[in-house]
Amino acid sequence: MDNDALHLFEETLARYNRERYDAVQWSDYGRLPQGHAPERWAELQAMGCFELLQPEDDARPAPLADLLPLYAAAGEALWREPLATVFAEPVAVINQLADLDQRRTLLDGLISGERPLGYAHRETADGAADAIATTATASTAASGTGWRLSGDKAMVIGADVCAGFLVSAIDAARGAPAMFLVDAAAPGLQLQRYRCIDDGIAADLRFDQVPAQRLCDGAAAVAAANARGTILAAAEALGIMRGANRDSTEYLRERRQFGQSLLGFQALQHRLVEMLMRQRECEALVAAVAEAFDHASPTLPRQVLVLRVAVARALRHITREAVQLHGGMGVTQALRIGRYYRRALMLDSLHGTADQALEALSEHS
Amino acid sequence: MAATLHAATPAQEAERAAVQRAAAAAGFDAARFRAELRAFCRDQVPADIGTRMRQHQYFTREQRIRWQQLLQTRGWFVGHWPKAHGGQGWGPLQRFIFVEELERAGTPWLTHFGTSFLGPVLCAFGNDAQRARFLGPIRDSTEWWCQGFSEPGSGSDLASLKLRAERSGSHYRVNGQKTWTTMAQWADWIFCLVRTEAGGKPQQGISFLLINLKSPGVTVRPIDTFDGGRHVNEVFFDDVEVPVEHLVGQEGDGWTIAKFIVGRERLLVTEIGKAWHLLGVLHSLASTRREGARKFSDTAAFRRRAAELEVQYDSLRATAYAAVLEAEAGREHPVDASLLKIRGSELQQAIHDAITDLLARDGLAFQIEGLHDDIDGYRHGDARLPGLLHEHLHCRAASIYGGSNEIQRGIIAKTALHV
Repeated sequence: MDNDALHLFEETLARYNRERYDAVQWSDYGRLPQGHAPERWAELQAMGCFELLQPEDDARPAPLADLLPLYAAAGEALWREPLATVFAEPVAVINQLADLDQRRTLLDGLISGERPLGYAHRETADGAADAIATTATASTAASGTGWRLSGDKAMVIGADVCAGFLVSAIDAARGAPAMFLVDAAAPGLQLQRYRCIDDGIAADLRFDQVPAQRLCDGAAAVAAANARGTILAAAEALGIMRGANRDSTEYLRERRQFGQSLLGFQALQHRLVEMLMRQRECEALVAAVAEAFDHASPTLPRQVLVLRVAVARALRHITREAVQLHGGMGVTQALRIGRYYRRALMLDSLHGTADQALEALSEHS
Repeated sequence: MAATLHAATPAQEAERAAVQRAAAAAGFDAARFRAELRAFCRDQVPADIGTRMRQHQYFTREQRIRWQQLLQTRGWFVGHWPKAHGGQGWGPLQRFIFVEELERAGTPWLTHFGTSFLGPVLCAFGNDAQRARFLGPIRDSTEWWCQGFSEPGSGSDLASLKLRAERSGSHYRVNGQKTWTTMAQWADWIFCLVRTEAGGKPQQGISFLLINLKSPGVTVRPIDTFDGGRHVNEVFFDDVEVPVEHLVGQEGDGWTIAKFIVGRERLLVTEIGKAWHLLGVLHSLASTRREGARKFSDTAAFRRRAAELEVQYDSLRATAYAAVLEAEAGREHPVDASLLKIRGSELQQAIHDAITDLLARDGLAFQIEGLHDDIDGYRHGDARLPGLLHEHLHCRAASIYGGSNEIQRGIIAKTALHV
């Protein structure tokens, strides 16, 4: 996307947020049985957002950098739509596939909106999201009926809208992790949904001898999926930072105590300035790491770890300062500040902990 | 060693000599009193309340009242009231030890508004008729009180409050609004700061009025908070008639009484016992989770973080006891209360951060129904998850309510820097 197109896209998204995602609408969408508004999801597709996944050619997947404005807009307005099932981890797995027809088919399923995919990798208590600590296993039956997969997966985001799942499991024939495709309607698959800290919906999946298709080796696919997921989560976090900083500044400007605007207190100005500086640093970092991802930079793994730590710290700092600076209003459901805080907790829980990333950084140099 | 903080049973901790001496001077044995409280919390907590304690669930109004009444069978609920008014005449030290031990055990939070705030206010500022009418029901937990201080435009700047009370014959007519009123939805009565006179310094013209929440013209509306709870409210007053007998002290005494209350509130919100309890939760969670082949509690990263928290905890507990011992000796250092409020809230938040980081490894499901009862159907993760996440979110307000940490730092600046 060139600069003009990018600017236009950002303006379109800003208008979409103003018209479709005010506080009341946000609450209304949450009360729908799906936990989001299907017509908003359809509207995003009609706006051409899904087309951003269209590869330039077989050798060159669509750039991740083009998705950053979309995710920042999602962060700022706290979109409830299951973006991950179309834009995030599944795309990274699909781009690993050697079979170009298979790649094309799965990608078309995402872009058309007909076959969104869930990324079923996490298992409870395994800690790091990028590690292959999977206990799910898949084996081919002696009768030659293909692969059967068994085991438990946790926290699959947007699971109930998915047509299928990309599942990491141990390939019993090779004793090594691999990625499998499982149809959402496959026999033996059980789905348990629940609300999360950000008010979104996830599900735990139980597989009992479920028919599966082997897609590719696991380690590289999981690493790519985690890198992509981490960068997009960071872009979403940027949107939260911008919204939280803007709202906090406006709130302090308008709120009067002791006969003056709270923004007049230098101690509070400095707090806001620190928040802003952290936002600026993260903006630069996200753009740089997305570029490294698109160019398959050899230093990408370290850059992703740095991004993970830096964004986690900045997001935590900014969202809690925003709550504090809003006083009692910050902990109500009436303002989006409290929702930012909860979404930040969720984002921070999706791709391993920042501590683990820091530890990984300190181990390899 | 980080792990020893909770490897040691509380009974193995020695009581500090300074505490023992001060207790002896006040006529009680600190170690014996602690032991008695621990035994009570271990043996006398009703089973249904114990279940909710273990799962970090929200207590019902009835459970809280039942627990308070149980404490009062030993005279403890109003132990800090003067003997002449039905208390045991405890000083600040005995009261602090009492609250610390309850918090350590994780028993229901005592609703302070009646027992800690209004009771002492009536003893100090009320008249005989008011004491005769109101103290008994507070002691027996048969009337529930809430506190009407904050207003929409008067939070940090409390003195700018506007709730108007106009004298007409034998009544005041009250008009206006209070907000952030904790547990007003459960309360029978509210004590309010009201403006009886305009003009002059804002602190003047404020009076202290007792208002029956069942009076015509009172509306209580809950505020939804982001922790999924409904514990604060807006309270509206539309031409509410309040008998003049329900004015405490004289007109214009409100600010003096508010300062009396706020001073007490800040000592109590140190919540050092709660911090200890939460550290116990953190260590137990860490020891039941694994990182590769090891217990998570054995990893260097966790042990370092736990050690950091131990430093914060020990510093705060030492400071809290230093302040309490000063108060016990009848001296009050003006900075201490603000310091305890700031550090107490920071420590609790830091422990909750560590707990949440651990819980996040299993995924942050928030099945809010689990806060009040067992989850009917599928439950993701630990049974304590809804309660602990609720407490994490609620704890963000600890640095806001009762005078925000910004206001507290301002108070320290005024007193310590002479600005």
